[in-house]
Amino acid sequence: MNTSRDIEFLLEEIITLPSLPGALARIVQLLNDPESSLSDVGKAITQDPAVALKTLRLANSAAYGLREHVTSVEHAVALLGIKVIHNLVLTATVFDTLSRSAGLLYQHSIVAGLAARAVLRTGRVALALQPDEAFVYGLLHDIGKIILEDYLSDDLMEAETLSRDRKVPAYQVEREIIGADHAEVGGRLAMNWRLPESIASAILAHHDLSRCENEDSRRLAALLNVADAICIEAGFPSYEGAVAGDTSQSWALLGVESAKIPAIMDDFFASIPEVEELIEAMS
Amino acid sequence: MVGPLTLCDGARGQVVLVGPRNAPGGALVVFQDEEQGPVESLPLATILERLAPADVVAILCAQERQFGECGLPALDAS
Repeated sequence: MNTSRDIEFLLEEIITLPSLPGALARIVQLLNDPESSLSDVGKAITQDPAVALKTLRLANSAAYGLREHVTSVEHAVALLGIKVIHNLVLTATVFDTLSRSAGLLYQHSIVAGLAARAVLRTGRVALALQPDEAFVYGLLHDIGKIILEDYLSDDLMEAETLSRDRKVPAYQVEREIIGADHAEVGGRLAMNWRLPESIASAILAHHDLSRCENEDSRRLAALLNVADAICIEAGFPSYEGAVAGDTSQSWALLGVESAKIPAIMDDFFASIPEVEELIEAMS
Repeated sequence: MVGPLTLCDGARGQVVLVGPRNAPGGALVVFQDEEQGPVESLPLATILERLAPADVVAILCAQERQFGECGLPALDAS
């Protein structure tokens, strides 16, 4: 047990958060620049061939449902618009980062994206979020675990073992063993990458909604909280024997009653075949 | 059999899977009072409002795993 650590200590003494990969850093910069054009964004993506290829594969996947086959980044940008392209590039970049991790976390993250999308669109949740954005939020929610795997893998493994033994969610044990949980680390990584504040706060608070400063942020975090729990229940945990936390507050915040759950789960189950397609598109 | 379940109103039952959600039967919640009185079984669809959302998710996942074709993996027994 290490009670002297906290997130600040970890970030000062143990963990060096990686910088945002090049292509996405440039795109984030362009998105924040009112002078930039669609063409500028397209050029920035094509300068990184690996990201460009994955972005095109994603754009042509069933997840985005374009009616015409897209063969160039410029075409994709024109068809989808900057915001969606930003999400595509972010997704492609995150897939690269996640693919370094153990298979379970990679698959869990993709399925969480599909679950968040199903809850948002079929649960008719009143959030200013498009379904493809919900997918990206879900994909990113456990990004902090990648950092913990890199820097504190033994501690993370111990937390997961204790989580199984005690039948409590891993984030509770991470706080005890590591001094912070993966959500805090992920939130800080998202801030470090200058991702939108809404993503960073949702990641930060997805296991503790009180970390949000306002109702909208809390509802975004609640969306990730229920998506995470759906994954565990559906057999896509981020580690073997994962235990889901209580989601009652999150469902209530989202305004989703039990009567809506069958339709949400139908949407979610129908999307499961996309997992293999997305992994193939990103390989 | 999926297992025991406590409803929002405190009633206790057992969830039994007898078929997929879109078939007659589907998941049933079986109730029997403490005096071992008559057994009552109600289809899941008729008592959704008495269940917590997380319980509905769990039952539907179990049902899909048993009867569905989307390819949910088996749950880890550990």
